[in-house]
Amino acid sequence: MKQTKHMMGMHITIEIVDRGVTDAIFESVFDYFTAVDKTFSPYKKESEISLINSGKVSENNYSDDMREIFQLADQTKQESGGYFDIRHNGKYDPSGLVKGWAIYHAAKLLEKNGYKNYFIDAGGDIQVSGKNAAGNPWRVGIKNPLNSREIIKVIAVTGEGIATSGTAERGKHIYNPHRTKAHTNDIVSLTVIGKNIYEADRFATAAFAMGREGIYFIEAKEGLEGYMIDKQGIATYTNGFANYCL
Amino acid sequence: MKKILLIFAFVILFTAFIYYKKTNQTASVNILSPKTPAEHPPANIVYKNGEYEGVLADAYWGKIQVIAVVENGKLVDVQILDYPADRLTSDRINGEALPTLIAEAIQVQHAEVDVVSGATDSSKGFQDSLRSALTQAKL
Repeated sequence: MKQTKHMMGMHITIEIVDRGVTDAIFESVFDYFTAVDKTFSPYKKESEISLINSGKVSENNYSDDMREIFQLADQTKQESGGYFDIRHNGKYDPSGLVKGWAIYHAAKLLEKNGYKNYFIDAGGDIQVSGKNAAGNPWRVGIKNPLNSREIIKVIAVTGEGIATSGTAERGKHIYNPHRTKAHTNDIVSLTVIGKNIYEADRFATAAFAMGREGIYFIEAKEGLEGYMIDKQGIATYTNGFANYCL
Repeated sequence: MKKILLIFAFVILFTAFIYYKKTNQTASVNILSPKTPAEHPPANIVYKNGEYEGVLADAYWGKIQVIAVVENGKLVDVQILDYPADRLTSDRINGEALPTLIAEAIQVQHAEVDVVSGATDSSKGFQDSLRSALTQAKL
C-alpha cells in the first residue's frame, strides 16, 4: 500500500509491502510529520524554532526534541569541521538535520508496529527497509540535477538511508550548463548512502557545503558512500558506491 | 538669507558627492541601491553587460555566492562560486594525498525504479546572492 501527502513544502511518500497494512498506520506517520513541522518549521511564526529565533523561548525551556536537535547539530558541526552549521544570518534553521531525523523516527514508528518492508520518502530523502513488492531490494533512482525528468543512476538498497543535497533547480532561461567558462568547482548534487537516513542526510548536507572536497569527506568517513555530480555532468563517486549500483 | 545659502550649498555639495560616488562605484557599497523586487528577475529588464558578483549569502547547507553574467543587455548565465573548500584539505587531510576516486559522465537510465532521490532544498541563499548581483547590473 502506498500513500503520498504534500506537506512541509514537499511530497512525503510511504510504501508498505507487508500484509495487514491499514490506513491508520499511514495516518500515524503523516501526523508525526505534521507535529515535526509544527515544532521546526521556520515558516510558521508560532513554531518552537520561530519562537526561539524571535527570543520568546529561552534555552532552558527548549522541548526535549529541540534540545536533541541542537545537540545533534553541534555534533555534526564538529564532525564536519564546521561545514554544517544551523546558524544563518543570526537565526537558527536546523532544516538540514530535521528532515533526516524525522524520517528516521517515522521509520522507527513503522518498525514498532511490526512493519519490515517499506520505504519513507520525504522530499527525495529516503529510508528503506527490507524488500519491494517484487521481493527484491528497493530500487532507488538518482535524479539528474541538470534535468529533473531524467534518472542517471539506479541503486539497490535494503536497509540504508539515501539523501541527496544540491543547489536549487533553476529555471532554464537563466541557467546554462553548457557555458564553457564554468567554474570547475561547481557541484550541483551529492547523493549519500548511509546506514540510516539520519546519517545520510546530515553528512550529505555537510559534505555538499564543502564543494568538490565533499566527496573525499564521504570517502574518508566509515559507513558512508557518495555520488557527486558537477556542473558539467561529471560524477565522482566513493570506492564502495559501485557495490550498490544496478 | 544666510540660512538659505547654507542649505543651498549643502544641497550642491551633497549632489556632487552622490555624483562622485556613482562614477567611482566599487562592488562593495552602493549608496543609492534601490529596494530589489521579486525573486525572479523580469525578462524585460535591460542590464549593463559584464559579470557581477553577488553578496556571500547563507543557504542552509553553507554559503553561496553567484556571478550574474550579462551579455547584450540580458542575463545569460548564473555561475556559482565555491566558498573556499581548500580550507578542508589543509585542516583535515594533514598533508596526506587525497584518495583517487573514479569519475564518469552521468548517463540517462531507463530502468524502472521504486522511488527517486533528488535535492529539494531551499533556494533562498541562491536568490539572495543573485538579487544582489542583478542590483549592480541594472542600468
